[in-house]
Amino acid sequence: MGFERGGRGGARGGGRGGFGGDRGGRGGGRGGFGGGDRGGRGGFGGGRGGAPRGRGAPRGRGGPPGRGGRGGARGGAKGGAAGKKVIVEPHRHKGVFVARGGKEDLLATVNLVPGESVYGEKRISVENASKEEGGASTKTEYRIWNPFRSKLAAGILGGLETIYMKPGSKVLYLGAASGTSVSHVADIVGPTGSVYAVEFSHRSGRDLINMATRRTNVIPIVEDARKPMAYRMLLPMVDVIFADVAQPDQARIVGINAKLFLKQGGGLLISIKASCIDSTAPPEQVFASEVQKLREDKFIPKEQLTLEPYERDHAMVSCVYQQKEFVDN
Amino acid sequence: MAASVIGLSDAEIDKLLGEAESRLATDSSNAVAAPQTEAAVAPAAQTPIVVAAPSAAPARVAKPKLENKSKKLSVRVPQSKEKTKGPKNDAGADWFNMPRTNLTPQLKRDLQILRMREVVAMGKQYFKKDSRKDFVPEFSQVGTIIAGATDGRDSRLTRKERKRTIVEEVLGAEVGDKYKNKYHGIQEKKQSGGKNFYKRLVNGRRKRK
Repeated sequence: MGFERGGRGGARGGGRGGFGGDRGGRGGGRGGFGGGDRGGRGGFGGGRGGAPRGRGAPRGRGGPPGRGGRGGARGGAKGGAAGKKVIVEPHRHKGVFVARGGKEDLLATVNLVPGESVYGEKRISVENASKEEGGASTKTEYRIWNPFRSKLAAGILGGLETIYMKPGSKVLYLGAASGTSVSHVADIVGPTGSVYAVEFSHRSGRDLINMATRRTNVIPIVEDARKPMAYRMLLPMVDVIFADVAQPDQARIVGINAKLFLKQGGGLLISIKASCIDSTAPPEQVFASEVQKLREDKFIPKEQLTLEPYERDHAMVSCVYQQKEFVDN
Repeated sequence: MAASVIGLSDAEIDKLLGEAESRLATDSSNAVAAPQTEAAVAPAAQTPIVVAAPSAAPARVAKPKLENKSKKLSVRVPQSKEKTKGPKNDAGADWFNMPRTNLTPQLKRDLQILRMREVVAMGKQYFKKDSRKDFVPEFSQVGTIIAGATDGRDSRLTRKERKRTIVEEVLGAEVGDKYKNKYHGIQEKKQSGGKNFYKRLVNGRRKRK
C-alpha cells in the first residue's frame, strides 16, 4: 500500500535508561517512541499475585505521572507535544496507521470512540473537509499506540510479517489485563469485528469492563483462560488468537483455546516472556522449547522476533493453526 | 522568517531542496548545513509567487482493441479489470476509508521537510532512511495532536507555539532557540557579582599566587 517501509514505524530516540533495582523498575529515561508520553512503563509496582494468570497490578499504571523518567533529555523542542501537526498515513498492516512529524514516527489506530482516550494516551484529531460545498466537516480521530506499553505494537514496530487481524476480524485476546492494548485491537478490527478479551484478575478485569462499556465490539470475559469451557457460550470461532498470558504453561493454555475456538488456518500471535517460563534457562532455549510445544499443538510457526528494545527477554511468535497458510477472508 | 519563505517561488524552493538533498547524500557528516541554505534563500526572496500546479496523474495506457476476432462469433470481449477501476478515491475499508492525499503547496513543503528531518534535528537524532521514491503518500491526512488527560504542561504547546504546518513549527522553533540564548545571557549577567561569582574570582586569584 502507500506505506512501504518494512513495517518499522520509525526511528527510536535516545538510549535506554538503566534498569533499576530488582523491583522491576524500568522507570529510567528511555528515550523513545511515545513522544513526550510518560516515558514508557512506570514499573510493575504491584505484586505478582498467586492467582493463575495473575498479573498483579494493572498494566502500565505504576510510575509517577507527568514526566516519568523522561527527564531533562528533552530540550526546547517538544516531541509529540499537543498542538503539533502530524501527517497520518496507512501502515503496511491493515487498520494500522503511522503519524509522521515531529521527532518520532508514531503508531496510531482509528479511535472508535472519538473524543475519548482510554488510558491517557495522546490522540490525533483530523478535520475532513466535506465533499459538498457548505456541508459540515467531519472529524476523524486517531489514538497513539505506545510500543512500550503494548507488545503487539512492539511486534509491529519490530517488523512482524503479518498480524493476521484486520477490520472485520474476530480476535480472542488472552491476558487482556486492563484493556489498554485491547482497545487498540478493537480499533483495528473496527465496528464490524469483535474482540473477546479474557482476563482472570478481577482487579484489572474491572478496568477492562469499564473500557468495554464504550467499545461495543469488545466482549470482556473475566475468567481463567485455562478453563475455556467456562466461556465457550460467549465465543464463536475466531480468526486470530493473541496471547499475552506470561504463565509457565502458556503454550498449553493457547493450545486448548485454539482447539475450541480457533478456525483451521487461523493465526496466533503469542508473546513469550522468558523469565516467566524458566528464569534459570537462557531465553533462546526457553523460546525454542515453547515453539516446540506449539508445534505439538498443531501450530505451524511462521516467525519469531524479539521485542527489544521495548521489552527485555520477550519474544513474539507468529503461527498458523493446523495448516500452512493463514486463511484470509 | 516565514514571510521570506512565502516570497519564494515553488520552483526555487524545489531547486534548493534538491541541491540540499544531493549535498546531504554526498556528505552525511556535514549534516548541519541548514544555515547555509537559508543564506542562499535570502537574496532570491524578492521574486513573485508562482504556485506550480501539481502535475496531473499519468494518463492510462489505452487497451488494444480485439475487433478482428469477434466479427464472426458473438463472444463477449473480455475487459481488463484495470480499465473499469479508476484511481481509488480512498484507502478502502481496510484502512477505514482514509482519503487520498490532498496535496496543497503547504503539505508538499511539510512532506519535503519530513524527508529532510535529519537536518532539522541538527544531527542530534538518527532517522531511518525513507526509501520511498515518491515522497507524497497516496493516502494521508493532516492532524493535530491532542494531549492526554495525564499529560502535564510540558507536553503541550502554547497557543503561540501552535502553527498550521510542520514547516512553520520548525521555523518557529528556531526563534525559540534565540530566546533560550537570551535567557542564558541574562542569567550570566545576573549571576555576575553574586556569591558564587565572587568565590570563583577569589579562587582564581589564590591559584595565581
